[in-house]
Amino acid sequence: MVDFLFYLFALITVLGAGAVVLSRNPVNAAMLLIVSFMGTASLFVTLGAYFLAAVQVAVYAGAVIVLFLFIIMLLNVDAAEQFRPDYVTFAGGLIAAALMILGTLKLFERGENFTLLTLQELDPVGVSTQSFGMELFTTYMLPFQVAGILLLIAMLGVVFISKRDKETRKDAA
Amino acid sequence: MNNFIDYKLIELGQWTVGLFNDYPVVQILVHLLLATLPLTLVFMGAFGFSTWLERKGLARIQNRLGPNRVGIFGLLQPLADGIKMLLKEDIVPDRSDKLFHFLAPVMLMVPAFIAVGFLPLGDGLMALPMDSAILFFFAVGSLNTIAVFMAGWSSRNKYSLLGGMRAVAQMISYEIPLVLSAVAVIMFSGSLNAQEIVASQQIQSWLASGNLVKEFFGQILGWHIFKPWGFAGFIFFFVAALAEANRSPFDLPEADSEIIAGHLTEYSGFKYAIFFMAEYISAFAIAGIATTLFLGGWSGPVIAGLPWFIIKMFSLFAVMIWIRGTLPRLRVDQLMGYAWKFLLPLAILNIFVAGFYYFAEQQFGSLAAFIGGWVIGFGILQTAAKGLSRLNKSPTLDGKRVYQLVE
Amino acid sequence: MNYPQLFLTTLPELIVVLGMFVALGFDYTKYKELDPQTRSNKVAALSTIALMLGLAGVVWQFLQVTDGSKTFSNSFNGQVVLTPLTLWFKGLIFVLALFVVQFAKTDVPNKHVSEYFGLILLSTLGMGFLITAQNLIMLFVSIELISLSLYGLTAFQTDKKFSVEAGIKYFTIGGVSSAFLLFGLSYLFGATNELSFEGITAAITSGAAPQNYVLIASAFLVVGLGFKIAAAPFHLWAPDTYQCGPVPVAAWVASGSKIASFFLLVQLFGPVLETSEQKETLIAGIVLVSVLSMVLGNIGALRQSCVKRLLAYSSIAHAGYILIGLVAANEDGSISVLFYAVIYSLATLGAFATIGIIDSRLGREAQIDDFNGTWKQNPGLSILFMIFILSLAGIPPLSGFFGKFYLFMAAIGSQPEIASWSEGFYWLVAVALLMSAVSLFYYVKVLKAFLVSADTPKLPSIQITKAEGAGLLLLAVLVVYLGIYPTGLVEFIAASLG
Repeated sequence: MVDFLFYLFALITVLGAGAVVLSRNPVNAAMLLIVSFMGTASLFVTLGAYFLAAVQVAVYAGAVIVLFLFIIMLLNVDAAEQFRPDYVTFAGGLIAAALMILGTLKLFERGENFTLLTLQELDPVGVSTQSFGMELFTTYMLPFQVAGILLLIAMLGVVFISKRDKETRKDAA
Repeated sequence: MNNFIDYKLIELGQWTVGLFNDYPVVQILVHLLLATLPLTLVFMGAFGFSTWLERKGLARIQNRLGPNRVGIFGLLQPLADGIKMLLKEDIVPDRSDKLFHFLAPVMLMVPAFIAVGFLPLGDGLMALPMDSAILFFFAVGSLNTIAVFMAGWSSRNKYSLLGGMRAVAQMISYEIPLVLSAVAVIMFSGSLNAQEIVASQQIQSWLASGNLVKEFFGQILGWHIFKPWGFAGFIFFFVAALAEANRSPFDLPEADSEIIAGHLTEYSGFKYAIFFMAEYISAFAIAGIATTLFLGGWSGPVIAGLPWFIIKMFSLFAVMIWIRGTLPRLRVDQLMGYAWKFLLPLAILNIFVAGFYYFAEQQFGSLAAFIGGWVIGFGILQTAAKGLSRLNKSPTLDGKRVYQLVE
Repeated sequence: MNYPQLFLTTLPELIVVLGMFVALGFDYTKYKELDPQTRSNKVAALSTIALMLGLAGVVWQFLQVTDGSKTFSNSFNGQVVLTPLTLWFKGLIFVLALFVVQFAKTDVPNKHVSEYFGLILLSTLGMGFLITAQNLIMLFVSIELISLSLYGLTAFQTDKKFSVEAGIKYFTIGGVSSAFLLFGLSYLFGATNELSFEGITAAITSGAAPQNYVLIASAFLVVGLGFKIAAAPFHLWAPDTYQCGPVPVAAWVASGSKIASFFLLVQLFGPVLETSEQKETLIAGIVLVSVLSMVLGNIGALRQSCVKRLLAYSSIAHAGYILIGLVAANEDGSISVLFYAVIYSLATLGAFATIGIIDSRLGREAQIDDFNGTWKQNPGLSILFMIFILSLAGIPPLSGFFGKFYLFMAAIGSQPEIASWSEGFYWLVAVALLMSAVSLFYYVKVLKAFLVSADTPKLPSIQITKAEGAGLLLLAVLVVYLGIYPTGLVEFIAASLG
């Protein structure tokens, strides 16, 4: 059952992601990305990582994609629709993808497989949201704080990119 | 304990499932149906009732009679409306994105019903009993935005698009204070489990004491709304919830007088009805989660359980109607400013107050923390609110107003 | 969790962050009304103080660690490993950041002064963390810290189209590379079930980790880190970023982030390359990257007329040279990589700083022709620039020569049993030598414009500030000193690695 669910959700994720790349319309692409993210969230659920699943839905499907859509709405969508890759680009991408897939298959067939473990099997205690939080504030305190600084960088970036001085605005106009 | 209604319902459910012991596959299906079907039916019924309630209530506020022709007091009006909607022609704009136009109402309705599943309707009465139910509730709730966007974008109508953009901006902005004010409760209860959050709002030692008076008050006095941070948090939460549910005074995405109902402009017939229903059910869900987080959930004297939950949820919904009849709609810039410059800082401050309250309770006992919290903690919050409102005061309001077109 | 210990371990970083907040706060309130140049001087002074204090913290930690006291024995599962070597390199990063701040303050691209210096400080932080990180999570977080702040810095001239374009290119390609890196890291974690480098190495050596997965992981890591060090064929962002971003930022990308990335490469790949069963395949891959970088970098540089773009291609070529040391897959190789990373960054920082000074006085991007006859007006600047360029070219008395020498010797010495020139890495070294010869052409072209060109000078006499002058002089002295006396640093690195 779990195996079946894994393949189902993995298929949804991969197909969704593939469709994102192939779709010409940016809005469709963003919507398909949600499908892909939902597949990932479902994979997390099958692994017993409920917290991650909820965060995946809330952050990616609920916030990130919505911001994507917002940007797409603000830009001229029709202009973006015109993009058509030429044959050289297309062929290059195809060759790269084929090499990648072949290489990976080659690597996988060359040796032993190792079984997938669920989170409970890996760590019987540490799957609840509470223990997740405990780990974050003890063992991984430093990366957690550094991630906070990352957000600070994003804020600084927003300040200088979006804040226009009056003089520059005059120049632009 | 006196929440016998919940226990009877659970017993009934278990008995029904027991009937199918010999057919495991059927049993699973029955189990699933039992968890979802009553919920769906009850909330759809509640939707019908609440449209009547809203129209009637608004009418009374505006000195009108409201619906009074179909049935006694117009009670069958929702039914008549439903039949009318079903029979209407479903118009799809020619240049619309047909798929998204069709999917949008569905995308709105599914998360709304899933969200309802995370509500602890009673002791053990929860359709989706998950450990991090509150988190899932917010995760699912955030999907509403996408549906509204789909509706606005696929209609190929400038008013729809405007409505969609407003909705996206508004929902993203208000989700932050919404979740942050809930964080205070989650922190205090130490759990994301809805049932445990309800349990944290009952004074367990009083309930077990056997003293009738203590049992009575033990079901009430522990509610988070009676604590300073809970009271403030409830207000932030409720305001943000109004915005999340697109209720007045934050109903800018569907402001009929400005952008002719925004993303709903190009919808008609049954799809429109589904939109309508999904929005009401989202409103119920968010009222229900406010009940769970701040108003003690299903706990209450004498008839604890499902009845209290429904009473509280509908009271909150009635307050929403009342607000709709009272307050004018906000401007877009006011709306965004209110979320980012006022609610967000206060919600963050509230988390700190809740943290200090928690430790004060452990250090000095409940009563001292209670009094100290209301004096100091609430004082801090109030001062901060006043300071923020002074900082945010828009400078144009002080001087004489200039009307460009008139002069 | 030992919080006081964590506090002491990250003390330099905390000081720098605090300094950044002070600078931001002052800039937003007290300096609000001043003109940009004054603000820039004041904020740069605050940033300098913060960096100096941070450096003092690093030095204190260094002394503690070399004394052998147990103060920093806890590395939090490899998140912050403080050894003499990591602390030395972290100190170097702080010193380079000090130089960059001095060079940056005379010509801030726009009014957002404190954000500019804030991002420089935060990227310094990221580089410091990357050097001390021996843990996959910390590694990724600090790489992102570096990358995000550098993306922002590159696009800082928001009123200039090319700066924004360079920023977007850097951001897009960098984002893709981060995805590769993260994918590789997750494979590595999946294969070994360990986060710290120590545990990973142990798992690979003992054979507990499936070798295939280690190989896939390493392949992704080579791609991801290849982007960060601008090795071909992952170099496409480099020319635009170096040319169109603010010059001090280009200098910082070329020096600080290179040192940190190469340090990481050595830390992460050193053990894997030495112990993995898939050694051959991995080394073949890295050799390919190395040769491509050397060829594409040097040939690309031949055609450039813009000096910054030329230096960008030269940095791609240098990434190729440095990878030769990694290919050697032994301790000599690691030593030579680290040594070359240090001297390369010093020289390239100096070269970029000189160009930055000339650019800002010229008011536009300097072409090679613009340097014609600079010697007559600005002899001091010309000599300093000559030192940097000759070191980059690898001319004997300067440190660049010894850097290359160690790299090539390590590659040849890694397979002592091979006698014939057609086997082993002789051919790789031969390619590298050939490409060095090619590189002489364009380096000398620049120098010729500077020194012997007979045209009338286009540049007026340049007044450089004291801070700039002192910085350039110090860099030049370091470059010369390490050329005359390289053994000190090499022996220190060797002793600390061993």
